Amino acid sequence: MALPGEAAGRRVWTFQRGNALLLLPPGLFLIVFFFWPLLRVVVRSFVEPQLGLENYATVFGAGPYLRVLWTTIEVAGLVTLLCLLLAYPLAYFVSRAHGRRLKLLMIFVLVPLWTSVVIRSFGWMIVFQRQGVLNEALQSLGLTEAPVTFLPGPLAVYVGMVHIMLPFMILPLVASMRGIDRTLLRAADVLGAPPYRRFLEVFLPLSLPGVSAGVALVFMTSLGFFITPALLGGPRMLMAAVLIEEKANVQLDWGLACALATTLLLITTAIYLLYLKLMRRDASLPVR
Amino acid sequence: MTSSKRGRATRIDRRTLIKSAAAVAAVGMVAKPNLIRAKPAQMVISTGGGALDDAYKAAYFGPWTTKTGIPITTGPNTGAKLKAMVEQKAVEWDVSQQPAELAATMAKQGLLEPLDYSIIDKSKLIKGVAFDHFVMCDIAAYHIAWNTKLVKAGSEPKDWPAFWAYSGRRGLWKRPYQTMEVALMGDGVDKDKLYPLDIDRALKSLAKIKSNIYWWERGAQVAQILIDGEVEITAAWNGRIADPKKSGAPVDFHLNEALLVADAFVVPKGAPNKKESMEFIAFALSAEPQSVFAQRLPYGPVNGDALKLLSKETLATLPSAEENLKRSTFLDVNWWADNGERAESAFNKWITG
Repeated sequence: MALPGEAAGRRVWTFQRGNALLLLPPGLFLIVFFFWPLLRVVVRSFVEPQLGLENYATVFGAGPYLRVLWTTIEVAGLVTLLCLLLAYPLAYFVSRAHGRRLKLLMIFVLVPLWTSVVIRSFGWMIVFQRQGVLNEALQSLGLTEAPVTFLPGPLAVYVGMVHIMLPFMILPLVASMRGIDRTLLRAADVLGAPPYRRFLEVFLPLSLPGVSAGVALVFMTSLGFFITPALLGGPRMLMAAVLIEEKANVQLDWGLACALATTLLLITTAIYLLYLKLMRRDASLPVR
Repeated sequence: MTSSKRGRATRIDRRTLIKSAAAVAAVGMVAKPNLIRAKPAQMVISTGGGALDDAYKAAYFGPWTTKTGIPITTGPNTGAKLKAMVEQKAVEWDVSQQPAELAATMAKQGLLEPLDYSIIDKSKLIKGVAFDHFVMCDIAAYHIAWNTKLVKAGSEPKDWPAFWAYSGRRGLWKRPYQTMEVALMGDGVDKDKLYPLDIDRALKSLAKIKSNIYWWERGAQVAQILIDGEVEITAAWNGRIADPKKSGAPVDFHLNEALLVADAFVVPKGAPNKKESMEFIAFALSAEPQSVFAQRLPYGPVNGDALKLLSKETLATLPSAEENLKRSTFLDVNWWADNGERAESAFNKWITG
């Protein structure tokens, strides 16, 4: 039976409806300062210097662009995977901590965030160079005789990027793990599940929202990485952001810059949608 | 290019604007009571920031304000911002300092006002620095540098072919401009016959030493890898090497076969105070301010008379001093404005392949 207010066609004020209003300011902000400029980027890629697909012909043509886009996705993907592997056990440990220990652990996670990425990248240069800390350690341990050339190279880039991105993986994981009802694990234990099954079938599925958020954050941010791969990486590690900056700021070729940015955006969106679909399927797996 | 892109973002709020306007009005009333044309309350000049900005302030901005009473606000000179401002007809820069090859690109895209050479005196400028829409204001060099601990005195490469023949680790900038030029000289092309660049030949020349190159990205980085001995020799900019050398770091350089690169002044199309913009450029390129600038940074003046005001020791370090000009060559900014995309695409394809 309809409520009197609704029958008369009037909308009743509820907290739910009131809450929707809260979306308005950030929504408007995003429309004006994000979606509108983004739309202009997409449009520009088709109209500058003249109407047509010229810019996309360049991107998908014989030049370096597709390879650079692929390198970007590859690097971002590997950084995300490494971050997940390192962060998961650490987040588990942090999520079980309490009081002073928890605070201390969180400080360790957060402190690196307070230093600029450029300074940290230069810091890694000092660690990895031929007369650097790492080479000295290797030599004094007798593991190598001559200095190993790490710079510029992929190892330094991955270490540098993982170091920068790790907090963005740890924080959502910790948040999601702290929300897991531990009595469920005890219940599984009582019902005879061995530790690995308690993890695989109870804890892991319940922590997936955190994994999902962390992976998305780290992957998306890594796609736009600029200075770390540029400083630490070898010639092959040319990332899309470097090329886009070059086109936008140095050659002032905004049509091509926009086409590159749009292509990267489309690829990223496609990967992300695919990933969401997989995650949803995983999360809804029936617990045997 | 030679300058750091990170500048201090100076923003002008209404209060500062009113204050400076009031100050200028006051000065104007006292100093020049019969001023007819209203003078701009201030001028905005964007620069590369950092040490460059400090030197501009000492050599150009401060003296200009003293002379005219017009205060100058500075800000970062992002190239894309100039293009956006001109497109949207909301130009807030009166003058901008840009890398000369970027200035050439801007000119080609119609983003700049033509310079008024009836106000800017061309006659004192050294050859090849004045263009229709931009004028070079200081000259730096991309040159051979080495670590004095790792390279024995006397065995440093004297020119680019020697740099190419060297057996140790060497550094090059991970960008096509300048690097392609030195690759061609390394392959035996005469410094005065570089243009139009033979892109294929440049890449072939680079391929010969590919396994032995440390590709660096930033000016601060090249200084560090050279001082730390990560490379024995490298191509570098004199502004990055001269300072560590002076303060005792084990680095040295020469300007033989150096490639000259420059900063340039431009006036964005639709700039608010065009006449004053031209007058400012004319002032900044005059002998005295130019010589003050060159004493603060090892970038050479473009005014021949400014060179006469400098000591022998200072001149020895300046790329535009007569002795150094003879053995070096200018980067052709217009070639890069016309062929940058093609050259860069080929270079990036090669380097990532």
